[in-house]
Amino acid sequence: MMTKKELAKLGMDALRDLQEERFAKNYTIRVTSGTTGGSPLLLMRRRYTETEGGAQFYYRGVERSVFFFGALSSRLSQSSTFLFRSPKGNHDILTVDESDLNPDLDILMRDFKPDSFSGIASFIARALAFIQDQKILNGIRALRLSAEALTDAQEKFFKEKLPHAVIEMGFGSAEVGNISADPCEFLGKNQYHPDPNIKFEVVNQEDGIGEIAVSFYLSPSVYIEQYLTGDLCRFVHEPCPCGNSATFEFLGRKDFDFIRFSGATLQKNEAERVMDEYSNYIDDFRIEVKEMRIDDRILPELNFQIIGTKKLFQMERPDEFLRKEISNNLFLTLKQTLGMLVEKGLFLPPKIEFVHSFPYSNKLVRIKKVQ
Amino acid sequence: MKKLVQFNALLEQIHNHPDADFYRKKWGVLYAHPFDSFEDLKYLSIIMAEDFLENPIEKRLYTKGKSLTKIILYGPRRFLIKRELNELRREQYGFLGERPAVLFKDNHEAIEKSFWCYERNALPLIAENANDSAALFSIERYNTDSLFCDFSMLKELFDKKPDADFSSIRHYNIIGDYFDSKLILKYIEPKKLNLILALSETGAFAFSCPDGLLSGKMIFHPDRNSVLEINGRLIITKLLFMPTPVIRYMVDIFVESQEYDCNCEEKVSFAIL
Repeated sequence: MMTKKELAKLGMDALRDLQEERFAKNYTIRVTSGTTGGSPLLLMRRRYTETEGGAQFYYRGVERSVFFFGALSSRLSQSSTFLFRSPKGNHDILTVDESDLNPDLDILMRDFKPDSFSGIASFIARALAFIQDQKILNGIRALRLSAEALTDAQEKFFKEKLPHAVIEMGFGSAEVGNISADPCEFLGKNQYHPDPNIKFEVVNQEDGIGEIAVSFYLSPSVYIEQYLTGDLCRFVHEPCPCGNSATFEFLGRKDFDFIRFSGATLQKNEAERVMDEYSNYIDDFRIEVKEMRIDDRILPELNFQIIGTKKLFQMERPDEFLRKEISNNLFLTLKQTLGMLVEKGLFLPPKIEFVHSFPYSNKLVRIKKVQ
Repeated sequence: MKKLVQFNALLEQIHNHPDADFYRKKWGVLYAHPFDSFEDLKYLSIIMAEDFLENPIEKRLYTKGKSLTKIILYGPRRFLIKRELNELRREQYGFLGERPAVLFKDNHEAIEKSFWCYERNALPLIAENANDSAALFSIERYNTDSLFCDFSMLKELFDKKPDADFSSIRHYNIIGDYFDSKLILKYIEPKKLNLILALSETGAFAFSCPDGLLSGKMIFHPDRNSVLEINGRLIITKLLFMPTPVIRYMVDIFVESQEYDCNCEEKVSFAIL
C-alpha cells in the first residue's frame, strides 16, 4: 500500500509529461496543507479531458457558478476545470473564501446572479447564513458537493434554503482527484459508483468497513498503485438498477469523521445527531478522543469542547447537565451509549470544556483522535 | 500612436455597445469622434471606485465570454469586477518562467494571477497564504523560477524564513500599489526584480524601470496597455477591452512626473509620492 509520504515523493514526476505535452491547461497542482495530520504535500496531476470522463457533472448545464472550497489550490483547480472545460459561451465563476463571508455577500450575489454552488458542504452552509435574498436562493439550480460526507442535518438545511437546487455529490480527494463517477439517481446519500478511470479497492476491512485504496494515473507516465486515501467506506452489496455493479458508501475520514477505538466507534453523524437535540444549549462543539494508559489498561476518554448558548449558562451546573445528557444519548456501539460504557468501567467519564470559538480550518473537523 | 489607435477602437466599441450604458450615462453624449491626441482625454469625465460601487456589474459589462469574477474590497465596501480570460492574457504582470508560483494576501488576486499564468501556458502553483510553512514548502518543492506576489506576502515570507532557499527563483514580480524599495532591495537583487503597479480593479498599469532599480530608485513607466495622467492624483486608462473598461479612473495614488534618462523604450517616467 502506498502512503501519503510515498506519494509525496512522486509529486513532481508529472512535470516530464507536461514538458512533453506543452499544454499547461491540462495540468493542475494540488497542495495539501497538512491540517488534518501529516506534512504538506505538493502534487502535479493531469486533468481528465472531456472524453476521459471524471466527474463531468460539475461542469454541466450551469453557467454562473460560485466555488466554495477552503484550500486555494482546490478552488483554483475546480474553477479552472469549470472554465477550461465548459463549452464556448458566457461561463462565469466566482470563488469565495472565508474573508468574503460577511453581510456584503448578499449584495454581491444579487449582482453575480449565480445558478449553481459548488464546494464543501460545511463551507456552503456557513456562507448561506449571509445570503438572505430568496430570489438568489431560488435561482440556484444545482448544488454540487464534494470532499465531506453529507449529514442529515445538512441535507435538510440545503433542501429548505435552496428549494430548486438538485443536490449532486461527487467524492474525491486533493491527492487523487475524482474517485467517484458522475452521480447516479438510484443511489442514496454518500453512496457512489467508483470512477471508471481508477482501480478502486476497500482494504483492511473490519465488520465490512475498510479503507479506500485507489490505483490511477497521475499523468500519462506516472502510475500510482494502491494509494490509501485515509477515507473509510463500505461496499453496498445491493445491485444498482443503473447496471453498475460496484457501489460504495463513504463514511468519513479515518480518525477524523469516523473513529474506531477500544471496540467502540464514534461517528461524526451520530455526534451531530445528539448535539442537534440540545441545540437550545449548544451552538457548536468539537470532540477529541484519547486512549489513556492507566495501570495495565487502556481506557478511552472523550473530551467535549462546547460553545454554549445563553440558556445553557443560566443553569447552575451546565457541565454536569451536558455530561449527563450526552452520556445517555451518544451511542458508541450498536447498543451501548457512552454512559453505559462509563458505568461498566470501560470508559473514563467524559470531560466537558467550555470555549468561546474554534480555530478556523479549511475543512470542518468536529471529531478527531488525538495521541 | 499605436496606443491612440487602440484607444479610439476601444471608444468606438463602448459607444456602439447596445446594452451597457455605464460610460454613456457618465459622459452624457459620448465623445465618439476619434481622438487626435491623449490631450482630448480631458473631455471625458473621470470615474472613481464609487461609480463601480453604485452600478451593478450588468450595467458596466461591455464584453461577454468566459470570465472570472473578483470581489474587490474598497474601504469597508465590496464590488465585483470581471476579467475575461482572453483579455486577461494580455496583462503585463511580469516575467513568466516555466514554474511560476503565486502568493497574494488577497485570494481573488491569487486566483486571477494563476489564471493569467494558465492563459500564458504556464502551470501555476497557488501558494496557501494562510499557512506559511505550506507556502514555503510548495514554493521550494516546485522549484519555482518566477514568483508573483504582493509586497506584504513577500515581507512575511522573508521575515519568517530569512534562511529559506529561493535560489531557483529568477524573477520576483511584486504586484500592487505599495512597495518598500529599501526592504525589497535588501533581500532581492535588482536584476531579478520587477515591480508592477497594479490595482485589483484595473490590473497592471506600470512597471519599474530596470535602470532605476539598479541605481536604487523606484521609477515607473506606464505599461503598453495603459495611458496614465501623471499630475498629482493618478488617472488610469486601460487600453484593453475589459468587461468593465477602465477609462479615466482616478485612484488614491499620488505620483510625480520624472525626467529620467534610461534605456527603456517607454520614455514617460514617474515616481510615487
